[in-house]
Amino acid sequence: MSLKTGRLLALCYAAALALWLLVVGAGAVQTAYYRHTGLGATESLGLEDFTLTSIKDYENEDDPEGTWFVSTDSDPQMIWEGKAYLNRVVLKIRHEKPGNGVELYYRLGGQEQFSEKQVVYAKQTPEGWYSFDLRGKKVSGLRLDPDSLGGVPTRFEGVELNAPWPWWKRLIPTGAEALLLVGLPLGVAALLRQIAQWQGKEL
Amino acid sequence: MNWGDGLLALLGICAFSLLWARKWELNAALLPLPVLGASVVWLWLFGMADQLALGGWLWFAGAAAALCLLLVGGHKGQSLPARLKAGGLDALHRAAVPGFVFFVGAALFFWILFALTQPMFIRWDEFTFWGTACKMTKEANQLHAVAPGNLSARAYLPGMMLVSYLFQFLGVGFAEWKTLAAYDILAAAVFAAFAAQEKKRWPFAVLTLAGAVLLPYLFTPAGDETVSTIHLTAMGDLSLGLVFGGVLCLYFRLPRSPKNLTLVGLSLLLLTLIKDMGMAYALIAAALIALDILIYPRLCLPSLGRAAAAGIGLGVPVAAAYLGWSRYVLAAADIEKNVVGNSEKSYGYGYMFTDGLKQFLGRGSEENAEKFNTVLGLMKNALVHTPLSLAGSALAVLAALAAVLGLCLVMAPAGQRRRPALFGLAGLGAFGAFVLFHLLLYVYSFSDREALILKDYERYIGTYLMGWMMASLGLLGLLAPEGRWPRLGQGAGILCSGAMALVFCLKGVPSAGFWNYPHENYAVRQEVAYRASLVNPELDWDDEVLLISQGDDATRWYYYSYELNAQLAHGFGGFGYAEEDDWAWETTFMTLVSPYQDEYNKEFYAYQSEYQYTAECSRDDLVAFLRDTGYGYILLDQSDKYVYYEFGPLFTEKVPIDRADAAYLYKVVDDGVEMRFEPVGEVRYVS
Repeated sequence: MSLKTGRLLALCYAAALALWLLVVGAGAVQTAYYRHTGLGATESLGLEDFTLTSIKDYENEDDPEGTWFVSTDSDPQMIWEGKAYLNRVVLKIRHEKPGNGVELYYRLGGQEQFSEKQVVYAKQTPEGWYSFDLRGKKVSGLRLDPDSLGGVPTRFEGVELNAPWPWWKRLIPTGAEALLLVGLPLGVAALLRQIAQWQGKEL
Repeated sequence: MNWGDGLLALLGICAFSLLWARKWELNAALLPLPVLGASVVWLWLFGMADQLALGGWLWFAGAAAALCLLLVGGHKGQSLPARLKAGGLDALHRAAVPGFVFFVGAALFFWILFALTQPMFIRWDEFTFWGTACKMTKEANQLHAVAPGNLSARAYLPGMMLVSYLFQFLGVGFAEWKTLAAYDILAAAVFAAFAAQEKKRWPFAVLTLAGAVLLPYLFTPAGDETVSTIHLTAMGDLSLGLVFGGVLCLYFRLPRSPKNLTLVGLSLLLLTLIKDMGMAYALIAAALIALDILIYPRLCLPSLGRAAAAGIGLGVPVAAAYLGWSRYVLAAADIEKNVVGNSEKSYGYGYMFTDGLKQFLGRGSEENAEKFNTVLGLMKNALVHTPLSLAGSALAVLAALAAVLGLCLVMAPAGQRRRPALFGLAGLGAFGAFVLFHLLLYVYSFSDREALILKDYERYIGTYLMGWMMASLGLLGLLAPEGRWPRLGQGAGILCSGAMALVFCLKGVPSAGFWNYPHENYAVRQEVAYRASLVNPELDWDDEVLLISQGDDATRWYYYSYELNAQLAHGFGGFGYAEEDDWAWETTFMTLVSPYQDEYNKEFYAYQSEYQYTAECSRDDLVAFLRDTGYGYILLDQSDKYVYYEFGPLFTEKVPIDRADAAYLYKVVDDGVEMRFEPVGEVRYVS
């Protein structure tokens, strides 16, 4: 590769980085705005705030004080109707046996149904709860799937909307964003160079 | 060396590739695929001689020697530092081509990503064959056909297991993520062959490669996989399709010479060894290559001889490899491979083809006639209506292929226009034969239930079409820029790539993939692995262990079969095992349910009505079953009230009444009068 090619690539990656920082900055401004309006406030929800499907009460003799439920099939759902601007949701549950997939589906304004495409997969927190990074979505409803097996006894300890999230974590791209940040600048550089070659000149 | 083993294997592959590129004056991007092919054949031959580990050590010794030879360049009269500098610079110069840079970059990316994220096997077939066989090969340093482990499909071909073995040969123990990364490195080698362009054409290589790497996603029906396992599976189908396309791209890109055809031949052997269908793919590829040699540069008598020689030279080793493996598994594992069928019926290949041909003429056997006609109708319908890609059905893909090859025909240099035309027609003929072969497999090999749903139709047919599409794009990328309108030709290649990216963005972006796979999906796997690790020290491969895991849907049974260092015993289905009028049959997994039909028991054990794969089993039934089979151990993974009350008296210590924190191992002790289950090892249930 010539130096010019290297310079072109560096330029494209620098532009992508700048664009990324811009997006992150815009997200931070948006978060501050919605927090100010109250739509982005931190909020704690109890089991009574959800409509439950394929979930029933469960009595655990070893923990009579706790709130327990058990899923009755492989698609248990906790549906919350409400509007919020969300960065991070924490589902505070503990499975008594492995539950496999823990997922959050969200509806955007105007949508009536949850979509398979609008899903966030859980990451386990150090406390053993499940965290979902929505990264600034203005939602009109949430569906939390606490497991995907059925017959899983689960201790429910609450749901926290807009749980605390260190600001610097916004800078870390998701997997898909990281792939785009690696691939797109390369593609743009290749396209620019290709066009230049067609025109018979070096960029 | 817990993660460095694969990097050393990668270094070895690079060294072999660059050295070969220097010796034969080739683009280095063309070499990783044949080098991997040669490596698999090498390990396979040593494996069949039961010297797999020796083959591995010799491979790495060869790689070290290749690296030294690569780095020592210049002339004999020069000092060593000068020669090292010359050799290093030459290697760097050869490596700095787009395809090879992509290969190394993608290989490092997958290796590092998976070392950090530690993906696991999760698909069903990974536990019935693909993953289990990789684990057995690594742990026993033997081919899976003869290695100890819970594997029934021992006759399946070993190519992918050897790719996995190579990349973790120097490491301690078996790691699933290394297998997954190794398969992705093989995919990267295929893409490197696709993008084997000169350095100055890197923009075109990058832009066309963008479309090629999306191909596996494009051949996923829309909405089928919101969590994609592409590049995250040990199953061989993706590799089969990619290597099929890659071998043809390799052939198109290589300068035409008998010497270079050996590189194609080595890659074809890898294709053959991936899975049973690999031989069909390899023979189709050999035929397509022979036809291309026949017509290009011109159709004449000498070219007929060259084409015949190439066809035979490529096809005979393919057939020999397949038949060699068949003979090996017959001799080493006493398995007759050349039969098709299921648990109900089995046939020889000869009968399948002759009776199948007769069925077309309406003169086949009566017992298969109805099934044949039904499946024929289903296949015709599926080709038009069943989506197997984001573009739609096989018919839609054929239209897309016609568009790509049509573009290629228009843009190709005048003397080469017949190449895409013949490639399209011959590929279509081969596709027809391929579909007919699958029709016969559905009729003669699959059970009625599987045949009537055309089980895995999308996977089988889509794989071929994906490889064919990749080869067609490769041909377009080769010929179009050399034609009368080079810029337009390049534009056509880029346009195809752009169209594929657009379709992917609009219809096919999965919500999760190898870049963000949800690890919560591994929760059951991880728990079974942990439980098995606690009892494995007490077990040996001679031991037969009956798993009791109440309420399981067989998932945990297969996970245990993968994790336990013992034979996981089969259970039974039906009822009345200990009685004369029993109705029982052998199964893999079973859940024990109450046979008692009185009101009290029916109500007390009502929850058992939700269980799957049940065996009505009283205490006497279990004792009789264990006496008949002679199983030595019971592993109690998940208890329930029925186990507690009905079988509790057989255990010498109290058993849990529900789920517990571990799986408990018991030895079956029987004096012929009384049977007892005694706890084994450190892990004991404490109530």
